[in-house]
Amino acid sequence: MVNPDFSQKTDEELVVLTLQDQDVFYYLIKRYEQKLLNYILRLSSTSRENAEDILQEVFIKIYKNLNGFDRDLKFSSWAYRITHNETMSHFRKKQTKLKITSIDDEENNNLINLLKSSLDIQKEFSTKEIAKKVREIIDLLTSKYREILVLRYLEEKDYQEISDILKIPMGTVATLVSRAKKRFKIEATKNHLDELI
Amino acid sequence: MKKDLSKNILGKIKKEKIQPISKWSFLLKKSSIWSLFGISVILGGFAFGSILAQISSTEWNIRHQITDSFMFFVFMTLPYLWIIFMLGFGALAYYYLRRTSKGYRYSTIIVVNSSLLISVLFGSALYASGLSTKFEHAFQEKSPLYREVLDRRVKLWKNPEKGLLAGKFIKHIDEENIEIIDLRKRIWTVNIAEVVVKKELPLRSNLPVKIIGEKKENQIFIAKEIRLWNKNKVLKCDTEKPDEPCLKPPRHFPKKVKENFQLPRSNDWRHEKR
Repeated sequence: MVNPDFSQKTDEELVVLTLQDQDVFYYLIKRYEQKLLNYILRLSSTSRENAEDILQEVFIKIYKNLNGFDRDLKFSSWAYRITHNETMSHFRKKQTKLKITSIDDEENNNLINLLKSSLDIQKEFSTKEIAKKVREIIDLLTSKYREILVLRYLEEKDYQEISDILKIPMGTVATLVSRAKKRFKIEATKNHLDELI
Repeated sequence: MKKDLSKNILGKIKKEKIQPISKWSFLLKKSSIWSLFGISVILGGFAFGSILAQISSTEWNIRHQITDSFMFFVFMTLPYLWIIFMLGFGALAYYYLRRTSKGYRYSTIIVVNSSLLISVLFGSALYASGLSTKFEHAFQEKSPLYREVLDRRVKLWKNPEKGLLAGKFIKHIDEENIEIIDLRKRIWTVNIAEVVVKKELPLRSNLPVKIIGEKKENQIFIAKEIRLWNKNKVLKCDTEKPDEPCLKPPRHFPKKVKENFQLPRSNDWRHEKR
């Protein structure tokens, strides 16, 4: 099904081609469905089915707004922005507290990296138990800090991308990351996470 | 069997005949935001020009009749209405600039300062070209609400007890007395025997004037100086109307008088009141 020509195209080229031929959108969806689904799951405690419903809405919104895509942005930042807004609005409507859902081993490694970066730990370790605890601590943070940690450490986005996704200045991103890490450190100490290492 | 999410989404798009929103609506939205930003900055510029026009037309030499405190006088005469307008339009400019496609990338300080700076530059240009002063006078002449309620400087001239009286010329009673109606619609007989003027002043019916002097009995005022309400306006005596009373600086503002001329101070007034 995957056309090799399309798999070589950049996101921006696919956007232009989609506007000429609706079917090309399939390749954009294919390229991003897993990443965006993971992002929705990381931002929320929702079920996979529910996340897929949100994802469907996200892609419909992306498709509808293709003419409004600003070529100065990375397509991925724009897609993440729409996903973020759609997820937040979905959970705001339902007034559900967002929680981070476990995805895979790679995520566990990312959570461990967050822990090491926040607590300034050089030692190598990686256990599912600690990753679980880190996830619980992130859930204790306010949504503002949680969102920024998810984007920085789980989605591994740089400051410019986070700025474009959350529509805030880069300086604010840096401040939020630093504050979120401090907050995380406080919660980690309070929950005796350092004793598990 | 794992379902193909991509196919399902594309299927839904096709089934519901969903189409991308036209690029014209995005262009319209984008240009509307930039236009609203531009309008806010321009209106902020007008407000800043009016602030400059009001400050430059403040009559500092009447300060002693109102208060001995320079700061108090400054606070009394600051053009608050225009300052509020300028801040309001500045806030709107900030709001719209933030909503432009890249507006979020800049820090609040940069966005606020740049929108205010554009307003300040535009307002200064308007003031330098004289448009702000014309605009300010038009407001004063056409809007009684602005003149009598919103412009705080007008209130200064509602103080006959402190030697400040303003109103419109009604008629010439005799060589030494004229009649005016003040801003509170009270009729005054104003003695102009010792009056001085800095510019030619043809006393025409309904001409708005400001008078510095001394209140005597009820509705009787001894004028020491008469000014046109509009500081920058220039009027010439009409030689074709010999009956029209006209005050001229050479006759009414001789050098000797000018040298000895002193405005009554607020303390003098307090002393007299006691």
